[in-house]
Amino acid sequence: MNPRSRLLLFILAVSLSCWMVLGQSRGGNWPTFGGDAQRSGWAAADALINRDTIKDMQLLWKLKLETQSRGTRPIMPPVILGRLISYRGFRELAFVATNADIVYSLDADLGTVFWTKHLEYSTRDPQVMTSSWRCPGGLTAMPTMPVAARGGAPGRGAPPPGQRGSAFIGGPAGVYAISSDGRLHRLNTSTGDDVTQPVSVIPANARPSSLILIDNVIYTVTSHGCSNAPNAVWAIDLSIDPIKVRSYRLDGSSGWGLGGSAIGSDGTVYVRTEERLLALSPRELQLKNSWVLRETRKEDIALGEISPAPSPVVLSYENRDVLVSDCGTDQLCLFDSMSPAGSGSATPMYKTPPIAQPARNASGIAERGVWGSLTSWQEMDGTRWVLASVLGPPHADLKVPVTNGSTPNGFVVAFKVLEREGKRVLEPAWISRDLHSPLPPVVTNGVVFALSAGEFTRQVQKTTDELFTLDERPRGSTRATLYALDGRTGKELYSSKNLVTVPAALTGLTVASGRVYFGGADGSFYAFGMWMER
Amino acid sequence: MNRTLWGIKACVVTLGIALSAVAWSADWPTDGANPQRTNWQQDETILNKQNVANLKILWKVKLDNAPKQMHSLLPSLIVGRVPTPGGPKEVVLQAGVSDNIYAIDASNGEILWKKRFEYPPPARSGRPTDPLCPGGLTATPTIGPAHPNGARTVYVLAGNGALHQLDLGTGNETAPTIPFGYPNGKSYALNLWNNVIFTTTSQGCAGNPNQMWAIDLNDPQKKVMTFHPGSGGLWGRTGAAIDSSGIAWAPTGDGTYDLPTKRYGNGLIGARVEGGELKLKDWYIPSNWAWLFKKDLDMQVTPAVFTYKGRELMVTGSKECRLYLLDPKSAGGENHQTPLTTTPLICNEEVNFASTGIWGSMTTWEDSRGTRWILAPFWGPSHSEFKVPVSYGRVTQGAVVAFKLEDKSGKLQLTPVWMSRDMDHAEPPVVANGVVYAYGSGEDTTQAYPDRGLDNQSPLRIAASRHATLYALDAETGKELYSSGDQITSFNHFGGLSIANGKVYIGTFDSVLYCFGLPSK
Repeated sequence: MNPRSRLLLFILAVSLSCWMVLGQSRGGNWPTFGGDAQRSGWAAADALINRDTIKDMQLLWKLKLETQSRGTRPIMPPVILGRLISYRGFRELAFVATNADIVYSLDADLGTVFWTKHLEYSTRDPQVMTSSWRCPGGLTAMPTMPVAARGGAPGRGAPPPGQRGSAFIGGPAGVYAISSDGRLHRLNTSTGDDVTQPVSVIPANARPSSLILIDNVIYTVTSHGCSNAPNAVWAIDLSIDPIKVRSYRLDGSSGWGLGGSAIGSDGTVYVRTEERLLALSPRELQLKNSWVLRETRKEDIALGEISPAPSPVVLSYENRDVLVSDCGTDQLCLFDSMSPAGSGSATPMYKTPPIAQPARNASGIAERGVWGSLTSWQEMDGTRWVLASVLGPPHADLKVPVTNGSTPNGFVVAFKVLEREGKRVLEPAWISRDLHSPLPPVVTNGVVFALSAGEFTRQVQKTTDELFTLDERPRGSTRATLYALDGRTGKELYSSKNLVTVPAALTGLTVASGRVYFGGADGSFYAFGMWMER
Repeated sequence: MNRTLWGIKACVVTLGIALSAVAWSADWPTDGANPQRTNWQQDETILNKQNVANLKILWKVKLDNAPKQMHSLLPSLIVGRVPTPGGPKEVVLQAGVSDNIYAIDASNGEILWKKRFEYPPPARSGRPTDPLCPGGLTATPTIGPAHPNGARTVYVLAGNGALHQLDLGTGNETAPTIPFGYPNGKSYALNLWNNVIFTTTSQGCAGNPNQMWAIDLNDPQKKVMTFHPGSGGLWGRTGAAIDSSGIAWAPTGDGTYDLPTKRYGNGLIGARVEGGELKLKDWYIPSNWAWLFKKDLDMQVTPAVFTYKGRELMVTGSKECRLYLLDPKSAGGENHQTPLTTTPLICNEEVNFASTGIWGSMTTWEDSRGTRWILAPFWGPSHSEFKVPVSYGRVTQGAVVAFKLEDKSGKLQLTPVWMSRDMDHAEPPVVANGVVYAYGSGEDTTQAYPDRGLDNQSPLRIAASRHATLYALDAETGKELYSSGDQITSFNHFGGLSIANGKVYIGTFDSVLYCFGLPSK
């Protein structure tokens, strides 16, 4: 190891230990889907979870929350506020939204409800009471708290110079949620009260994806054209009073990865649509760049809305963002954020072999492929990893040095980001054990948490090409199982076995302060983690 | 003849009693009554269970001490017989946060002398309106033993970090000042042991370190010795308690425990002067320290050191609201995390960092049957699962709880006996002659608010504070024997009770010192 590497390693180690002390002190945050603006799914350090301690993981608590029978996503992953000095004490809170337009604040240490907020439906448009797989109705967007820009502080509480700022910013941090009536709420973290009058920001009964608040702008992506709402990227600018909402239409092409948009280090908003990866300017949402992921085929259009396209993830290399996205053909691609703009034909830096075995016919399309979002983490020695959750068996062309048994139902695949001949590549490293409908994994301290959701992903009847009904779908479901995997090998380090009795909500995982959280399809909410003596 | 002889005998006995009462009187020379911080006045003969209901305000005096933040008057010190220019007197020594010292005639409340320490404003101070760092004189002084002529030396740590030595009878400086701390560092009550003075600091006020301090008065160089616990702040209300081996024990407040990096936060450290250094000798860290740290449930209660069946022990508590019984010879055992016994949670079911939990110091006394009692004050509601045989109604704001220390087949345990009536923020009680004197400070302790979170500001809290109330309780049952009702008109922040020679003292935020006693005495 050369002196520079040693120095870098030392700095990294010191930073990590400081972070761990901080984490141990009063809890880490997980302010949005994936934990950060890049949607990495990585909690850089956790004082309690590591490869040695993971064997002690246990079900710490579970709660039954109020949800509605509206499909497979009744509970969003929680936003974690590691430390709130509240009038009721120091609290680590998990803010969990359910499709019943309720935001719960759960005491993450005690497993109790801290407060409950029903987001009243209040708009002229009538509330949609019907539900379909594409448009389940109800609250669909994971809430957000201010997210740190890369290397910076969390979303600053003051508007840009010269601007007055709306009532949605400033003062103690709030948690932001969009109710099914399309109104933005800023909730007091201590009480759940609306800090300011909710404001209509998107069409009612739309299907917005996970929110992200950065530099006083909240981004979300609407998909599936629910209630005739446009499929679009939305920027809700809180730094202007009244708040200003801008949108970028996706021209009928949905971008419905679980994470919605990922944000680059310069604030660029990256969104994956059916065919393209878009780069939009922050706040204004002007198209900066686009990469074609695949050519649109006529036969895809009908099923396009059920194709499981994942959200991209942003990696940072030498002051430059590198994007990882699926390429529409169950391959992962690396894109240089600085590649020539505008043409829509920019080519990827690298493309992996196909990952997932393709569906034999259209009816199986929802059961195959990379979905949800991508994950990325970095080891102390600088090794960068990219992980993808995959439905169905691996593609025959995917050669992986380490496997962990056959994977007929699904798996997590891990790649190392390496430099070969001056070019960055994704080298397959391992495939996990078999997983049913795996959710996008989350990572901390070299431990990968993969959730076998146990959900029956088939959305199209094999015989009739009709969508399953709400009632039919759960019958094929199995129970969820949480696994902890070695980040370097994919080896199973922990399994929740039969502790979870229902399928998981297909919304995502959160990891923070020694705990992993997810929701169940029946409205139950689970916290696994390391026990702390009280 | 017989009648005459009987009369002479009676006169001699009466005279003897009277003379002994004058010549031999009780003191309260240091915060917590003694270096062990027991809060037990063992020499009280005037007040008792039978007459304490007749307590009245004998006098009160408004002192010209300006409060700083929420601090005003520190606990009073008392010496029963002090040679003064006006003859021997019982003297109350009263310190005020604005660097004021008053010597007051205990018999009538007249000020015998007063002194104010003047110094240029320190370059650094606490944040404006921060109740944690008031600046000024924050350490209760301590009074040394009697010199051959009966004179007593008062040790006072001024707000500029200068240790003064004053003659209690006259207020005259008896020695040059000694540098002992930093300006506006927040020092806690001084303790004097074998001519070594100890104090502790916390809250990093004015950027100063949180540590234990000692100075050997016999050392010609007056070297300042410190031990830094690496984490936390030492804010036990009465500073350090000292055991029979000279180890000073102090809680380390809110911090982390990590042996490799020598961090001893959220525990209790014991340090002793050896070879001109203040050296760590032992420590105790609760096994759930990480939980305490996460929830800001500091170990911040000055322990009380006492003897039980010939064995020295100590007891402390925390905002978490449980007690820990420890052996000073091996606090926490081999792993430093195993107490002799603990109690269940007494209060703080909400797991809150403010307005609930045990704050300040402990109290312990032994009755005539040899029963060892341990008392703890607490704030907030009692824990719903805490069971105590005798109680006096619902506790919502605070109370005093009493335990008996019992040896059950070789295992020591703290058995709850009684819990007092509700008190508005119960403060550390003192015990004398079978009577517990307790008080609710009436202080607003709110640090965080629903609408804006943490906002710990003195003006807000002062405006929301109420008034202190003094109670006398039967020490064996907790039954209320006396209440001052609303006679005290202001609150008290981090003050304390003192008792000697039939008089109970309490100072309040408005710089009024109250003396309660029996009018006929």
